[in-house]
Parts: sequence; C-alpha cells; structure tokens
Amino acid sequence: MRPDEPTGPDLEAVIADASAVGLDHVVIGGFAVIYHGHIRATKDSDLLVPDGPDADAAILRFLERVEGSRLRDGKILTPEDVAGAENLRVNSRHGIIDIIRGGLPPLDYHTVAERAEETEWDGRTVRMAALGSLVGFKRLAGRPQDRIDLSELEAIYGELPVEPIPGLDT
Amino acid sequence: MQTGRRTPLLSPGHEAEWAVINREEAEQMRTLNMALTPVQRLAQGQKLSQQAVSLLAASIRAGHAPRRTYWS
Repeated sequence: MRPDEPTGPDLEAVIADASAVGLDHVVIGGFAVIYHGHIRATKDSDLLVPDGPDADAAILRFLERVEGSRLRDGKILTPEDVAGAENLRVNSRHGIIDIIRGGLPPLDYHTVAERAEETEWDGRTVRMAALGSLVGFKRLAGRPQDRIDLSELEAIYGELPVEPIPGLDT
Repeated sequence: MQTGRRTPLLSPGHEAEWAVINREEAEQMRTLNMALTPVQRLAQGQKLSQQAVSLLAASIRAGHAPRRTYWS
C-alpha cells in the first residue's frame, strides 16, 4: 500500500480523536445517511464544525492527532490554510475526512448541533445530524448520490422534513 | 402444442419483471436495515465502507481505476 493511499473511513476513531482534542462537531454526509437507515458505502467521514479561532485551533490539533494532510497534494495544513477555510478534505490514518463549516441557517453549525441526535457507540457519544438537517444538506448539494440518498430516506420515512434554504428555496 | 421460447431475464423486454424484482429487493433491504439499531447500522456501514475503499485501492494499484476516484 502506498503511504498516501487512503484507507476506508474509521468514523469511530475520527470521533474519538475529535473529542480528545476538543473539536466540536456533528457527523453529516454518508454516515448520517447510514445512521438514519440507508446502509451504503462511503469513502469519507464528514464533520460539520463551527467557525472561529477556537475551532481553527481545534482543527489543527485534530489534524496533527490524525496525521492529516490535504488529500489532493499531501500538504500538511498550516494555521493560515485552516483559518476561515470553508472545506478541508484530508487524508488521515483514519481514512479521508471532510471538515466542513456550517452554512446559512438552518444549516449553520449552531442550529445543526442543537438539533443533532446523540447516541452511544461503544461507550462514546456520537452527535449525528438530525434527519431534517441531513435532508437540507442533501438538497443543497444536489449531486446524483444526494438525490439517491433522499429517495432512499423518503422510502423509509415517507414525506421528508423540508425547511426553506436561503438561495435555494427563497 | 407449441410453447413460446422464453428469453433470458437479462435481455431486452423484461423491464416490468426487473421493476418488480428491484422493488422487492429494495423493500427487503429497507426492512433489514431498519430492524437494526442506529449504532448497528453505523458499525455495518463502517465495515462496508472500509471494504469498499480497500477494493477501490486495489483496483487503482492495478491500474484499473484512475486515482482521482478517491476525491470524486
């Protein structure tokens, strides 16, 4: 295996390390889809994180702990790279991790975190995006996989909770 | 008595049969998935994902898939 070759995502380990360094986060993306009932493969662990210097510092501690480097070129990210970056896609010893800042309400970090569901996984508390938040992210992204996920979730839950998203619905 | 030869399922003209098969399979999968707890689903999803990436990595190493598929 090449040293820069990604391994499969280890969400448990990602959560453990994020918690260990004090990085506030909510799990979104493929693992949130799995949590809500549609089991499928995903290449990465997606974490929604807050804005601000405290979060930036926590992200840097997290990247050091998971031995994270930018996926596209292997760069070890600096404080300047992290400050204000909307999306960081890194390779790590726990697989690919997408670190994403919150968007506009209701997809801002505060609202998503407040609505998140907490569950115990092997003695660790996991914060997963609520179905309503997940639907919002999927509607916003709108990629083929997102549309499939929405269709699968609709088949499970019936009509999905849809909130207006600025720029998308208004 | 003449009997019509049935064409294979994997040939054109069987779209309605496939629709039934696919619908039943999807419904079975949903039922199985929802019978698990969320934590069981996470564990299963994680294992599936690790196997999937491992398989993809093997395919990339062998030159069968482009490396860019990692970040698509």
